[in-house]
Amino acid sequence: MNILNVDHSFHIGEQHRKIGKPCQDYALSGLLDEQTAYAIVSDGCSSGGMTDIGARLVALATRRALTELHIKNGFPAKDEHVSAINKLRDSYLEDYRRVLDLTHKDLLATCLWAVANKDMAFAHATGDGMIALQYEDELFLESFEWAKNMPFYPAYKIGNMVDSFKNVLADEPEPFTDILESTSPTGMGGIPDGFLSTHDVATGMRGVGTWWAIHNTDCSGNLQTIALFSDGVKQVREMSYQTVAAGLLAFKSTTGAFAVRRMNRFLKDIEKIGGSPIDDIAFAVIHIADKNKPT
Amino acid sequence: MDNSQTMDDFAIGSGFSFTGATIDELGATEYTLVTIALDESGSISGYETQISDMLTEAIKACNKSARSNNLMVRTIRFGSQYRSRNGNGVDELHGFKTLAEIDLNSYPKLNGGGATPLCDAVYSGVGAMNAYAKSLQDMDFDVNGITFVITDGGENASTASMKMVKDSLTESIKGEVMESHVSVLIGIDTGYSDDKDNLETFQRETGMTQFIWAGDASKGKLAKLAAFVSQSISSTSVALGTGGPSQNILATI
Repeated sequence: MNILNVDHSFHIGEQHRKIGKPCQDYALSGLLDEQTAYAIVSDGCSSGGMTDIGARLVALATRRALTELHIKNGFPAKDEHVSAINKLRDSYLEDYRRVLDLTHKDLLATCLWAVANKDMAFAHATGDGMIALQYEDELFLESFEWAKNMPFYPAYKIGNMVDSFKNVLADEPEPFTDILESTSPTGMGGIPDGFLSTHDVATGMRGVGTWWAIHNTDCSGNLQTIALFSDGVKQVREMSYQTVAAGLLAFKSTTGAFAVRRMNRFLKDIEKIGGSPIDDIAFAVIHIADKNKPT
Repeated sequence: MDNSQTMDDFAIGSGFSFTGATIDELGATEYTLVTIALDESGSISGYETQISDMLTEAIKACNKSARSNNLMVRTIRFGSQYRSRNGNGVDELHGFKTLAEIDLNSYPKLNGGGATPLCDAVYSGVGAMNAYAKSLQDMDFDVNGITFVITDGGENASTASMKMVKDSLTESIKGEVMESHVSVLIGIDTGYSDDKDNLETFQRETGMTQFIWAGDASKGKLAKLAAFVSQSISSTSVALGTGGPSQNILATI
């Protein structure tokens, strides 16, 4: 029997703390029903407007879309379900903007979301950030990066800013990069750098979505944790992002505020060696506990 | 006692043990551990009800704290009558559990009898807190603690030595097992003995943080003591995360 535990945490980085700006990362997690969990991470653009609010609205709009379409479609098992979720999210985001009299610049924030049940997991990324998949015997990291550090935001679409976005990246034929790697030295067939694939603007704008089976018969074992990270995971002083991700996923228990506990302790521990998050950092986690297996 | 929260057994050493909620099942990010140790020696006879009421009032007041979800309380009583059964003079009413899990109606009636194993009480109180706090810390929880030992008389019947008590108190304030720990020895006058000086000496020699003489064990005084205990718990919990202990506790009740 699988039991789903969810939690999320976000923390301000040095840069924003020093200049008195708010944390522009946000995360949410919860259950869509007793057997389906979700996780969401949104990272507001530093050069945007009030993107601390934007990141929260993106996360809240995503949650609303996930909740409503879960009732209608169940687990997002098809491309059209995924597209419908992103479309409804954008629609709610625009509604929120109007009600709050915000500009589209205020909404410039990434959107990573994941859904899991006892059999399947799915994650989708618009913008930059990282998805971590912790199997019993191996940790996979999938990073999304944009040229010029200019990720695509859902708000570009609803604010009719897509052409401007494309123009800025016009000299970059494949500005969107997807890197899949394993932290195990023997993982990914022994290829330490993993697989790197570059894509055109249109592909990046659509975002990347992937399905995984929870029960895995290969040497990695079953999928235990799906975690979404903002790109702050790659900007921690004195530490590689692989170490940061592995450290943040080293949960001592998975009850209640387990991600908050891990984040708090991790930041406290790395402070002793001069480590600290330069950028804001957020992560949201779905942990799948197999109650039939001894811990 | 109400055992709906799963409890685990822990050993302190030298034959002392305690119980605490299964750490895997705890959900908050941080906890303030509270131990309340009540003297049940013969000299409290006639005051059992007032002392019991003081305990329940203190716990009830903690429930009103904004930090109530972050409190875990262990309650023990001490008297030499428990030595034959437990190997020391301490009887655990319940181990560390969250406030919501404490059933105040299930507290047994106190029944004064026997001598005063004060060292056993402090050693059990602080030793258990050290051990449980370390286990919580190892599981990413932030922890601090406060221990109250309420007695009307000095040490005369312990299996634990003064050195054991001192060592456990020293460990509790090193900052290694918990962020901070305050230990308060509270003397009450039940008319059989006026042990204020003895208790003051005990506090000084063991290194307990504070000694408070509450005076006569009247209903009014014990009500004030209950308020003092709950307020001290609340301020200790508020201080968690600041790196230091709570503000100085008022020296009079």
